[in-house]
Amino acid sequence: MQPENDRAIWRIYDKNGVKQAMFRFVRIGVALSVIVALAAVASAGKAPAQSQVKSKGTIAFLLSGPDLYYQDGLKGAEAAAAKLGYTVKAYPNPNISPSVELANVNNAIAQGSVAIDGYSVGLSTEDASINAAGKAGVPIFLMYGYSHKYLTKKDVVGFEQVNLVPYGVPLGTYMKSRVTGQVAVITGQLGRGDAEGYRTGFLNGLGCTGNTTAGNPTLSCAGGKIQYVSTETGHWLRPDAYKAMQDIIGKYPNLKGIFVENEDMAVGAHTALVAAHKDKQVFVVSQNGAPYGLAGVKAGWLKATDTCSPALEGLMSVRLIDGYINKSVQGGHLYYSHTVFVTKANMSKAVGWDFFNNKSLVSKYMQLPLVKAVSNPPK
Amino acid sequence: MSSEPGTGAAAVDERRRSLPDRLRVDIFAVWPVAVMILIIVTTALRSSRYLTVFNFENILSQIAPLGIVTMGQAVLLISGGLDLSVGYNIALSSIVTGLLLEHGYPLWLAIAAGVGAATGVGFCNGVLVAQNRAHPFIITLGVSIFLFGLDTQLTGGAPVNDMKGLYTAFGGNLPAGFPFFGLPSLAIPFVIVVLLAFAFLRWTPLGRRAYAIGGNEEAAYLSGIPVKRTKIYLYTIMGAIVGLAGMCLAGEINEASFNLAQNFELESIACAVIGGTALFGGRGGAFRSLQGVALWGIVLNAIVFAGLSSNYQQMALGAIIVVAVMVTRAQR
Amino acid sequence: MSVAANVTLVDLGSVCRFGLLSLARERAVAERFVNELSITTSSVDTPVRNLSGGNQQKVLLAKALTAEASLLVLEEPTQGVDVHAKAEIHRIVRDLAAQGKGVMVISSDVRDLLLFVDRVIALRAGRIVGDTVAADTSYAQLLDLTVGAAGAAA
Repeated sequence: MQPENDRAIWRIYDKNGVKQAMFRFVRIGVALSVIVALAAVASAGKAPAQSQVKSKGTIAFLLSGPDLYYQDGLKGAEAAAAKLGYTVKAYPNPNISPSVELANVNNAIAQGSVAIDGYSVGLSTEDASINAAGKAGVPIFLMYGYSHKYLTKKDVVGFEQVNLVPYGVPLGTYMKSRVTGQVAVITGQLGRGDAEGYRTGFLNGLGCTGNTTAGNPTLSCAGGKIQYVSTETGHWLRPDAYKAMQDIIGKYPNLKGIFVENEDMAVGAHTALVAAHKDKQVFVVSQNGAPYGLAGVKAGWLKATDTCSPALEGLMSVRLIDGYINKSVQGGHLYYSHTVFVTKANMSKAVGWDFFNNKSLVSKYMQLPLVKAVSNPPK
Repeated sequence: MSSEPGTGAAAVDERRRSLPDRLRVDIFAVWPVAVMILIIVTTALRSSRYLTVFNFENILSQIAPLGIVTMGQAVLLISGGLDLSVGYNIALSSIVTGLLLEHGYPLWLAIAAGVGAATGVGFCNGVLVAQNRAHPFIITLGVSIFLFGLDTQLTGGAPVNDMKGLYTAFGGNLPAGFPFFGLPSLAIPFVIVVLLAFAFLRWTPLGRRAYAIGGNEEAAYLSGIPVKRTKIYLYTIMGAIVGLAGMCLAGEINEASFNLAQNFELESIACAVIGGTALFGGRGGAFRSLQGVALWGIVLNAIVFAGLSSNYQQMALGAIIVVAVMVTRAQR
Repeated sequence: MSVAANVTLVDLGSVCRFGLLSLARERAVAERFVNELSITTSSVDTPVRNLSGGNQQKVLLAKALTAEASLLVLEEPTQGVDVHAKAEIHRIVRDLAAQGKGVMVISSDVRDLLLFVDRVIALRAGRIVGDTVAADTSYAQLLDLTVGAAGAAA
């Protein structure tokens, strides 16, 4: 064994070299931490520079997950806060953990936040977060995760989300007049409230008869012209949607239409259709209005998409919170997000996800009338 | 001739390997194949579209990236280690490559940097595991969490949507004129990695040392095996395999993103274990792990063709993992 | 691992061709040792854990021999081994000595030790209490030195 020990790779590692190697790693670690710290300081330094007036306080933003949707929601909130004289502090929860969320809420309260905004991890976590905020007298506003039970709780400013079922309807209606044959759905997650809502809306728009809420295939739609044959799960991920599309097209080679429940998955499904040479045959609709989705509409493979800008949601959430603090907006309401149904013909109507980079667009959306509360929020 | 001395004891050995026993061992080794055949037959009876070349090509492309990772994971498991950082390491390699392509760098450089980044992470895993007495579980978990942060920092959560030349290479089937024309392009790297893993475990001193360390690390050390160095080699090789899997997956889906390979770490471990690789080292093989991967892909696909809700996919996979563990224990 | 894999583990380089293991060479080396040491096994592919204690011990000895060292240190080589295997191990050690190799045996089984060694060094509480040619001493004498009155006086 001895001769082998003399090889170069071993030398940095053997005997006294061990310490040196370890020091090298420590040094790399220190260097990396310095870079991260510098980046953090640099980005933290930017935020206050944006606000011209003295801060009216810090709004805590619950950032549940690293996805672009949530990141852009945060940036929309930051844009509005800068205009209204608040600062926004993000409380990240990259692994979507309930315990991290509660810790974030408690930290936000302890650090003297004037309000809490953002995304909750789930319905059960929400209850604890809302109670903690209410106990401390800190107003809380959440995007998505609406339940009518929470509207009456103390210091709940409200909820904002798309009107799930009606949001899916125009996609079904659009496909109904353009497709004949078999149609399927790629869902994000079976049984999840928003996912089931989108599908129900889509099936209603498609004119399906039968239980569209349960969505059990097969259903006869559009007066028998269309058959809804299947729902598969893509876990909101491109690779999983890719596989789901492969399986669906394998089982239904004559498939004519597919509704994919977000554009991330739609890109994956489209890639699978291209690989199977079925992209001309299958009519794809989706929802989101993400940059890659709008690129798909422009390219022509995504026939229609229902768009909803997380940045605009974030902007509106801060305006509503500001109104609540100024007592011009009453608490305990549900708000529906601004959505635009888009095809290649009216693409420019969509509100972009990244308008916060454009000062005139931010001013424009700040002057939009505040969204109106839903008068009869669903139970 | 070897049984010449002490024929009495040899006869005992012979009796131990009598027909029913030998048959039982074989059934243990190939039970995934038996289950696969069962599933294929029942599903074919339920759906006329199931038994098509197209569908099995789909399954092949679906399991290829996971299969490539599983080969590396199996080698690590055999050596008594494991790597929980593969999911976000695949993502890292795809992101490095994707960002370089986005900025107009040539394909070869982008691929070299992506695979290099993953290999570097593998080397770090190896050094950390070899140097510390902590279980690789917690070390690679730490690295995985670090990489998750790094991945999202590099991309800001946004996916890279155009993998350019990589998509041309892996995003579809082999073009006419190629051998195996029509097969998914990913089949080529997949088959190569399986054969290399088999050869590695059977014919290289490093592969042999992996078995020895996994079987009994202390005894391996006392037999003069450079345990630490072997571990560094094995984890570095794993890093390179992960980088390759990253290129395959990113090229096939045409995306680079932090969530490109979610759950790959646990799925690859599960596939290797279903194939009979011992979770704590010493036993297993490339073709056996391949059986695990194939069963995994066939179950997921068959549930769709059987017309069952996709919730059953998770239930079926969970059940298979539990059965696999029981079979592996019974085999011992 | 199989008998063959175990025997060649210490010196894998010797069974390699072009850096890859030659399974034929490995078998040949293993079969040579199986013969030389009379290891009872149905084949060199049998897993070592399926062998009896004595044969496992002999595989271990084979591993040590592949290192081709000029000095071998054996600690309790005959512990937990049946009579037949004990005799085999005695023979192997004698053969090694006859080939001019140094063999140092550490054992607490004194009666067994006297059957095959040339020279005995008796230790008591970490000190040498006796050093003699094996033929000149006896079990009783050694016992007295190591645990009895004679050793206490020394």
